[in-house]
Formats: sequence, structure tokens, C-alpha cells
Amino acid sequence: MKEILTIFRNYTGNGFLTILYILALLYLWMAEKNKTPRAIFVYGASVIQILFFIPLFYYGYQLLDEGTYYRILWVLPMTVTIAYTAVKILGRYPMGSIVIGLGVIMICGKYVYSNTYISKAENAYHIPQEVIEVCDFMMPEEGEERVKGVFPDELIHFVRQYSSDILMPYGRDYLAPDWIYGDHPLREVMNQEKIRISELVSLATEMECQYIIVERKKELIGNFDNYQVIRIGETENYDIYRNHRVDIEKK
Amino acid sequence: MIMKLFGMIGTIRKGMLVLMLLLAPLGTGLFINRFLAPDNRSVGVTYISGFLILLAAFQLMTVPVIFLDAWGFDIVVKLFTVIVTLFTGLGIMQSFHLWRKEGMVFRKRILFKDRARVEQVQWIVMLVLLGVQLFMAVTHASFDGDDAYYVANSLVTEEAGTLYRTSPYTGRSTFLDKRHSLAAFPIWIAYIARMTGIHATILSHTILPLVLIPLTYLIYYEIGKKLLKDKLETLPTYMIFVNILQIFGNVSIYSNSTFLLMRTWQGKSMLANVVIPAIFMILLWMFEENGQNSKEKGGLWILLVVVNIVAAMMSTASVFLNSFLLAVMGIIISMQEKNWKILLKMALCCIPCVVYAVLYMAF
Repeated sequence: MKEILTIFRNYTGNGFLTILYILALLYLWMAEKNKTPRAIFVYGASVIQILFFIPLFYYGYQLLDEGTYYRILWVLPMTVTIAYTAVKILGRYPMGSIVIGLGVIMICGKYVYSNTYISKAENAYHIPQEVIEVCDFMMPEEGEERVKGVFPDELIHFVRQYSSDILMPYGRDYLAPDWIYGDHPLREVMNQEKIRISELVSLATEMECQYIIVERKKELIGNFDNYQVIRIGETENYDIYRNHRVDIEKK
Repeated sequence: MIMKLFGMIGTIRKGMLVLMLLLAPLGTGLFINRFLAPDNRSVGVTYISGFLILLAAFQLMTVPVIFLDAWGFDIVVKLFTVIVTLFTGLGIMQSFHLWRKEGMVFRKRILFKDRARVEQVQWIVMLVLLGVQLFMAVTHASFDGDDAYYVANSLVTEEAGTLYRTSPYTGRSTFLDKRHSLAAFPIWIAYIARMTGIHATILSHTILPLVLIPLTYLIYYEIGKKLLKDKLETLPTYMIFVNILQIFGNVSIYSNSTFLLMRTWQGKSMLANVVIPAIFMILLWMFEENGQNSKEKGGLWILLVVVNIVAAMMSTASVFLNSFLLAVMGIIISMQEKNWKILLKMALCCIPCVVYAVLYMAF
């Protein structure tokens, strides 16, 4: 039961919109006369809510699909129920009441565009411009096979959304903290406070990476020039190196 | 940004986009109009039905190809192009037939200028709210870790032509990703990318929201029309509330509103914001109190099957969710109508979901 309540709390956030929904549902229990809306938005929705909180139902669902139990709440028609009830109640009063109703929703909810994960797009791809600049240094020429590069963590999500011609030794699957892949040896080296270049080049070569991208502010121990690794470009925050120990194959 | 984007997309690509995302669904939807009573033949219903039918056809056709041919994307492109052309052609032929027989394709609608002043203002407010969401979808980026799988998968499919045999995360060849391969929505995006020549990531993040967000509101609009049929003048108020609830619905990372406006292009968002609302729309319509003729009911049952196939296309696990929703609604409506055949019919509509669920469990 504790897990279910946690999922419910995580889904509903501050809970105010959910309270509005419950109030709307109670109103429809009393006021909805049409049988089909009553069946769907009152009886059906109530049954779904009850089932959601039953532990046996939760365990059954987990057997089918683990970790997505919150999606049961998607089948609750919260948006329609609140909007429909608001119109039913406020439609009888002057326009001002509708404005107040909208204001209540705005106060209870959270403005999506204030979300920290939303930012002004830097390009039509909607990925950081610097990722594009880095990748453009690495793109294979006409007649060349795909290339592989090792990237700092913060670029990994975006590289293969820009081009499928750039491969990586490890991807997002090694970044998600709750996934059980463990760490990748090359990522361990990349994330060291001070990167040992000998170790980095050795592993990158072993994993057939033609390119190494390093955050400029990272402290490096050693010199890339000693290992046939040449800096070929830079962006605002990153240096792009070509590892000549690994050839780019022709098609 | 918007001007730059439209500058980037050439005239032919723009034309293909309009063809693939607007005209083909509308043309296909015309085919279902033959089942509908004249009063229900709206452009909105036609477009929604057409969009869903095309997605369902894509899912049915693509999953076997995914299993049989690792490099089968080119086959998918060819086959689906034939299907789109055929469906659109049949729909248009059908509408000519309807027009000759009944003198109309779509029902007559009340013109904007004939509506009351208050109503006009409310519709304008609603359109401004929708416009803001579309503007933000184009000019703002939202970060979501899952894009590293879904969007990269569409891109690798379009560029390399493989079907679920390349890890989107790293690009290395891999065994068939059986679990994800049952949900073909990323491949549909790859198909649109191939047909329009637009990069799959630009298509996903910047262009598809311009179609999928209005599609969601169109379904909410049709739901509203059924709920408020006795006082349709309040429909714009209802739509303003729906818009505000979506814009201010970011109460958590899990809410359907968050998915609609931050992860529009992902199958999960389509499930929460297109498939599930479409089920409510169909149920409201199917069991309307004034009833429909048997032909129209037949059309709606077909549409319910179609929606169930589309559910499987969006997320493999959604087959459980959809079946659960239909089971609950089926039991309640059957009890209310004192007709257990309804539950049986709903169970039959879930057969596609059951088949995909069995495949999912087997893997």
C-alpha cells in the first residue's frame, strides 16, 4: 500500500488538481443525469480509482509491466471531468465566474513552460548547438564508414539524435542511475577528476574510437600528442581529438 | 526560429508534409464517413478516424516486417505508401459517391460569423491558447532522456534502414529488440521522415507537435460536443478549460499534460493524449441516448478495434492499459444497458491487444 501511495503522490504532485478532480467527480455523482457520461466519467472513473489503490491489483499489474503503474491514472479522464464540471457549474453564472474558475486551475496547477527541462531551442533539432558543432568535426566523409567517438556524459543523450553515423562505446543506458548495467570502464576514466591520458587513449583504442571529446575544463595528466592523438577542433567547452591509432574504414 | 525552420524546409517537403499528415488522414477518414449519420460527418471526426486508421494499418503491416527482415525499412516504405495511396483514393471515391447520392460530404456547420459575440470571443481565446502551445513547441526544447532511445531509433531506421537491430544508444548491431519492436510508432516517424526528406529529430521535436497537439484538442473537442450537445454554446468555454488544464497540468513528470507538451512525439504521450481520449470519444458516441443506426454503430465498433491496434503501436505495455479500460467500461455500460453482449463486443475489440500482449509476454 505504501508503494501505491508513493506512486499516487508522485503522479499528483502538489495534489491540488487532484482535489479539484475529486470535487468535480463528487459533483457529477450528484448532478449528472445523462446515463452514458454518468457510466463513463462517474461510475467507470470511480471503479478505476478504487482498483488503483487495491494492493492485489497493483501486484498483478507489476507482473505484467513493472514500473509503469502510474499509467493507470492516465485512464482517469481528469481533464474532461474538471472542464465539463466547470462548464456545468460556472456556465450558469456571468463570464467573470469562468475567469475565476480558470484562475483557480492556474493556482492549483503548475505552468508547464516554467519547467526546468524546457529551454529556448537553439536549433530546429532541439538539441544543444554545441553537440552539433562537436559532431560536425567528426562526420565521416563521402565513401567512409561510420565513426566512433567517446563523449562526456552531458553530450551522450544528444549525439545519436543528430547523426546515426556517429557511434559511441556506451550510451544513455550507462547514465541512468537506476539501471543495473554498472559502469563502463571508459566512462570511469572519462569521469575521473583528473583524466589519465594514457589510460583514456588505451581504452578508446581498444574500443575502436577514432575520436575523443574532452571537456576543456577537465584536468589532464599527460599529453595527447605522445599517443598519436591530435586535437582537430574546439567548441566553447570541448576539445575534439582524432585518435590516429584507429583508422576510419572505407566503404 | 519559426521563419528559419520554414526556410529550411523546401516547397516539395512542405507539400509532402501536408500530404502525409493532413490530406492522407483526411482522405482516409472520408472512407469511414459512409458509416456515419449525416449529422456526425464533421471534418474533425473524419480527420481523427483517418489518422487512427492509417496508424493502425502501419502497425499491422510493420510488425511482421520487423520480425522477418532486419533491413526491411525500405519494404515498409513501399508497402505503406501503397496503402496510404489506396486508402486515400478509396476515401475520395467514397466521398464522391456520397456527394452524388446525398448532396453532401460533411455536415453543414454554423459559421463563425453566425455565432454569438461571447462565443466568438471565447473561440478566439481558445485558438490563442492553442497557438501559444504550438509556438512554444517550435521555439522551445524540452529535455527528456527517453529521446535518446525513441528519437535516435527513428533516425537510425530512416538513415540505416534497419528495424530494431541497431542499438539507438550506441549504434552497434544487436539482436532484435523484441520488446520495443511490437510498438512501431518510431518507425512511423522514420517513414514520415523518409517521405518528406526531413531529419527525423527535427520532425519529432519541431514538426510533429504542430499536428499531434491539435489532434489531441480535436479529440477533446469531439468529446465536448457529445457531453454538451444540449448547450453547444458552452463548448468554447469547455475547450478553454481543457487548454488551461493542459498548460497548467505539469504537476509531475508523469501527468498526461506533461507528456502532451513535453514529450509530444513519444508513443507514450500518444497513448495518454490521443488513444485514451479517443476511446472516451467513441464510447460517448456509441452509447449516446438518442442512439445511432446499426450502420453507424458498426462503424464505431470498427473504430474501437482500430484504436486498440493503435494503442499497441504506441507502447507495448499499453495493451494492458487499454484492455483494462475497456473491461471496466464494458462491465459498467453492460450493467447499465442490461445487455451483456456489449461486454462481449468490447472483449472482441480487445483481440488485437490480447495478441500483442501474448507476444509481449512470450518475449
